[in-house]
Amino acid sequence: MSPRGRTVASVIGFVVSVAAIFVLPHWLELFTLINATIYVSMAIMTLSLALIWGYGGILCFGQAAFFGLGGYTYAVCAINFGDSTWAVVLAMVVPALFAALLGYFVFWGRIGDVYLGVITLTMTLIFFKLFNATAGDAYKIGSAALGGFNGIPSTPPLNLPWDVGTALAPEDIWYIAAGLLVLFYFGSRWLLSTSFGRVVISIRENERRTELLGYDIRRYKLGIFTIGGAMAGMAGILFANCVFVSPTMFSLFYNAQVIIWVTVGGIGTLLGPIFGSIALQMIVAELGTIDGLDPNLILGAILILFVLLVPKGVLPSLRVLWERFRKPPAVVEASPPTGRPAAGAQKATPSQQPAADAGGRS
Amino acid sequence: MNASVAALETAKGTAPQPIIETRGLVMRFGGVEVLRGIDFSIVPGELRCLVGPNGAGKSTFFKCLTGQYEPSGGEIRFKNESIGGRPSVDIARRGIGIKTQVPSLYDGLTAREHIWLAVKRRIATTGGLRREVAPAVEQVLESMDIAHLADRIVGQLAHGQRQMVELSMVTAAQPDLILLDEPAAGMTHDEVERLAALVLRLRGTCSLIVVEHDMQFIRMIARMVTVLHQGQVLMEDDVETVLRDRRVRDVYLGKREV
Ligand SMILES: Nc1ncnc2c1ncn2[C@@H]1O[C@H](COP(=O)(O)OP(=O)(O)O)[C@@H](O)[C@H]1O
Ligand SMILES: [Mg+2]
Repeated sequence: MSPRGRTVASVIGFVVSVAAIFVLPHWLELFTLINATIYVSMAIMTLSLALIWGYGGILCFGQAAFFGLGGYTYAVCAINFGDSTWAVVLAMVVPALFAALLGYFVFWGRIGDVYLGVITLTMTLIFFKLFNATAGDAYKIGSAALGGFNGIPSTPPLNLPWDVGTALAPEDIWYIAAGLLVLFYFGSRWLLSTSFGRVVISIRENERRTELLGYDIRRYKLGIFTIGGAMAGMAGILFANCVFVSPTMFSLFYNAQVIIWVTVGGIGTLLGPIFGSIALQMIVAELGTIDGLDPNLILGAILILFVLLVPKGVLPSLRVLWERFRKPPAVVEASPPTGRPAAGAQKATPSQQPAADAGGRS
Repeated sequence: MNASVAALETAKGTAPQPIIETRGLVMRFGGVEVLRGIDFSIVPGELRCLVGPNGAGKSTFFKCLTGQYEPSGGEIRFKNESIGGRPSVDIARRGIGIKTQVPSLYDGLTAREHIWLAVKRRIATTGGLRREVAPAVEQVLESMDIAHLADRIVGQLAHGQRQMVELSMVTAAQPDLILLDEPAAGMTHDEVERLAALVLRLRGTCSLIVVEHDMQFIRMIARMVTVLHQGQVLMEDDVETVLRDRRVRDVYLGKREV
């Protein structure tokens, strides 16, 4: 797509999504709206992985760790402060700091991609065990009991900043969650268009080359990893507002889910994983109501199907199709223009946008 | 600038300070000694060709110079500072650029983005302004004659075009020392000539070490040639002397047409 086409598409997309955000609460029942809010919070978590895996080339198997940390930090702080304002800030800062610390050891220690996956996965398992073991009065942070397996059912809802009296209704949470998703999406696009983002993408494409140009790749990886951690933390806050925090937030299931959503939606895109996650959540929820069908099984089957049939993911494949559809005569008129090197001019359609390249390493 | 410093020193009668120098450089992989004590130096502004049969250790030598390998022994000095074993980033920032033997590009990015990455880094290192970047990128695209490729995805370019993009990227960073590992490989005759013209244009603005097999090409660009054989310097002299040398023909050129 031309830059102008992209801008037009962005504006249309923005208007449509804002319209949808305001219309949905009038259409949906409260229960469905809360579910939709959960989907959206999951989409934010998916976006965070799409960013660090699809663009940073960092395959993190433990995105749920940041998600869960965000949720727990929020719940514990909100209970203790009695006001959600700083709880929200801290619930993004804590996962971000944790990501920064972990990233520091991983990237400065030059630990390979595979090990990074193993380490991040192990880390969520540790959190899972750890929070599961916090049953009983001994495990209290301030006045917040961590509650072991049961989590913290009394997770307080958000209130308006510094205004404890105004606990927000589920409808308000919906507006916030959906608004944040839109904000994070455009924020991510902006980030990727900055100098920082362009260097991050180059690292995914060819780490060694970027290093030999004189970029300290560790800093860039750490940067994008930390941003992803903060974003997943925000997803955790929203999730905690719809449900409540419990150790399942750190579970293998949540880890696997986001990876599947990103894969199906398309690695190296942002919209693909966002819509992929929402669509798959809806499909799995729908099919899950059928007796005898296990949602996990459905999700697994969907993943296998996609990896085999649409390995690039939905969005990149759609783009390729679109390019083919739009410019059928391009192949015919590909006789090389005079004065230009003939080779390479044959394919007149660069079907991949740079950003759409499925370049997540490993 | 370096060239003029060198000239000044020559005028004073002292030998010019080498821009890069290795002393007894050794590189071992397990028990295999690939570089066996290499003494090598070039003066600022010099263009040196490095030749030798496959497996002589040329690429390994370059990898040691750019911090991709940590030498097992010996010393590497660049601009009179020891850089052996330092990280690649650090060496790149000190001013060594390399075009590796295996093409190393960003297959999903456009040619313009390649140049941008190099220019951006240079301007950041030299403390330049952000708004200088974009015009500098366009200027490189023009001067390297790849403006028509600017918006093409590099993964879809022909081999020779990719070589040019990579070369443009390396030179756009304006390093003080450029290492080119078989830059003409796989290029058409026309492309090789353009490459030679480019290399000659670079000479004087920076120092270069070029690994090449193509004798035609070497004759076009170089005066001094260093011959590497089994990890050691076999000889070092001007092109014609080297090409006439019997030992060189035996180890290397004998197997090829000259
Ligand atoms: N990482 C490595 N591990 C083991 N052996 C290597 C490694 N890199 C290069 N070699 C060996 O070192 C020798 C020199 O290789 P190289 O520097 O690539 O030669 P050239 O570039 O002169 O053709 C070859 O025999 C090669 O097999
Ligand atoms: Mg080689």
